Amino acid sequence: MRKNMIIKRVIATTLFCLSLIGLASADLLVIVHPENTNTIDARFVKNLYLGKENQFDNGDDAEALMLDDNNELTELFLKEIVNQKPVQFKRLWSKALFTGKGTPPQVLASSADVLRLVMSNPTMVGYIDSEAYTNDVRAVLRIKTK
Amino acid sequence: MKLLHWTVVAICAGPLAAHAFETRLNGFISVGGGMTLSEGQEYVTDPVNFGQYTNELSIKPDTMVAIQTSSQVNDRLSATAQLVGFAGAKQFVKFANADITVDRGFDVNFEWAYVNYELLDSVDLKVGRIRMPVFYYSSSLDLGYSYNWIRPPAEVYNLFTTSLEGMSVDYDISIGDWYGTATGYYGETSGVDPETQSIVEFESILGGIIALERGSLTLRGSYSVDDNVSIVRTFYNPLVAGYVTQEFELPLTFASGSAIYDNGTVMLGSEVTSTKFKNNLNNDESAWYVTGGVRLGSFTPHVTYSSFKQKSTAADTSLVFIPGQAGIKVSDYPQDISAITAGVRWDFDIAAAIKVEYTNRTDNTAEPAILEGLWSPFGDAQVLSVSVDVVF
Repeated sequence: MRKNMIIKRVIATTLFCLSLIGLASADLLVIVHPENTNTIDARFVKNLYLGKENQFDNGDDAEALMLDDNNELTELFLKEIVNQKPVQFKRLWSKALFTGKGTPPQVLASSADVLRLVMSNPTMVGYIDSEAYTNDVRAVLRIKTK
Repeated sequence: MKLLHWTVVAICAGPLAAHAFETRLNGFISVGGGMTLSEGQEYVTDPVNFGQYTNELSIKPDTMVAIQTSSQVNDRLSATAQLVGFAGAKQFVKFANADITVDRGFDVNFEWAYVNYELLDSVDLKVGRIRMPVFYYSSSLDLGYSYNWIRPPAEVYNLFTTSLEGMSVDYDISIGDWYGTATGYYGETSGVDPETQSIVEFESILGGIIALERGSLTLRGSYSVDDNVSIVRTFYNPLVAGYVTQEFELPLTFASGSAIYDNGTVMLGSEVTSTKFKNNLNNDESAWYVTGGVRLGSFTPHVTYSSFKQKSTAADTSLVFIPGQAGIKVSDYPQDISAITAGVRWDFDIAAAIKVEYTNRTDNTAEPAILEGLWSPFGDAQVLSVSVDVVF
């Protein structure tokens, strides 16, 4: 019994430490407005950022927000969710922009800016550094950074 | 065409919202240079603006700039205008007994000028000046940044008009994992054929396009028809020792099919086109290319084979060159050219690329004995060109 308790305690402590490590390394979060209850999975987010989708399940307009090209979160997001290289993504939207097919996602300077816009706009979807997260928004996807 | 009326209708139909316009200003620029490698060789890179490389180094044929302004007027209505200038633009003028070309370098034209109205969530209506969407790369023809080449293969992309005044309706399609657009368009346009300097008026072009993509694969087909094409040709007639003007109708159909695969590392593509003339005054034409490239870091080496062939269908057309002698039947000497292009694109910045390209064109056209070397407007040519493409 006692031995089991010790083992349990060791496991619990280890898990706690691991979760601390997990918290300490910032992840990427895909966020939406807290009242946005639509199903937002990786496939939806990918199609939204590729311009193939522009509405949520319930028919409301959906709008994508980006961090700038040089931000490493952008590179991670494009690789893991959109499955595109930054230059490929830029090419796709340049083509859309100059051929009347659509307007590229709005680019913001920081995770804090993305959070601020998303918390006040139910139409918007963005990605942020998990360190910038507050419960003013709903996180729908998480990607581990290395 | 009563374009103005359509525009007014479209604007009136939109809900009247009085908030500030969201306006974007963007542009792109290509600066290119090149030459053919032997004396007497000419290579047309841009049949719309008569951009052409010769054996003298020139930075004009592949150099152009575009500025685009686009405003979201309200939730459903937007207005877009794209101003384009080509460094190598020329105009043909018949003067007395001579053909003269006038330099119109960087004359500014509107390539796009339209209002877009979202009729339904998945249906867009465009009215105004739009791109004639006949080829896969028609709408992005000048946007060098968006493809690997310096320009799409000239053997296939040989139309001398690119935009038209009219309307198009786009319908967004989504079937399972396939996404795409079905487009119908109608309009009118005119242009000058650089080969014969004929003025060609397309009075009622009607066409449809289906484009579908799934993952890395894009498929596209287009079909267009115009039964009201008129051609005015002025040429020197030795029989009367002077210039004569000839006017005739040339109804035609144009079809194209393409498949592009691009997974981010490997890019493969092919496009096939067919132009048919309904009244046997011109040889029917078919053209195609196949291209492949590999993205290695920021470098993309690529290679392309392209072909343009006429069929012997112009049974009713003969050209008279020597007084008193029988004319040469156009159907006996169909044009036949092919080209191999090899190049490298270097993405030195996310918004800018440098390209180097070598093209070797072979002319296999059989020529009439008395016009050896003069019948085909092409000829063998080797072309070396470089360019810098930037979007901003």
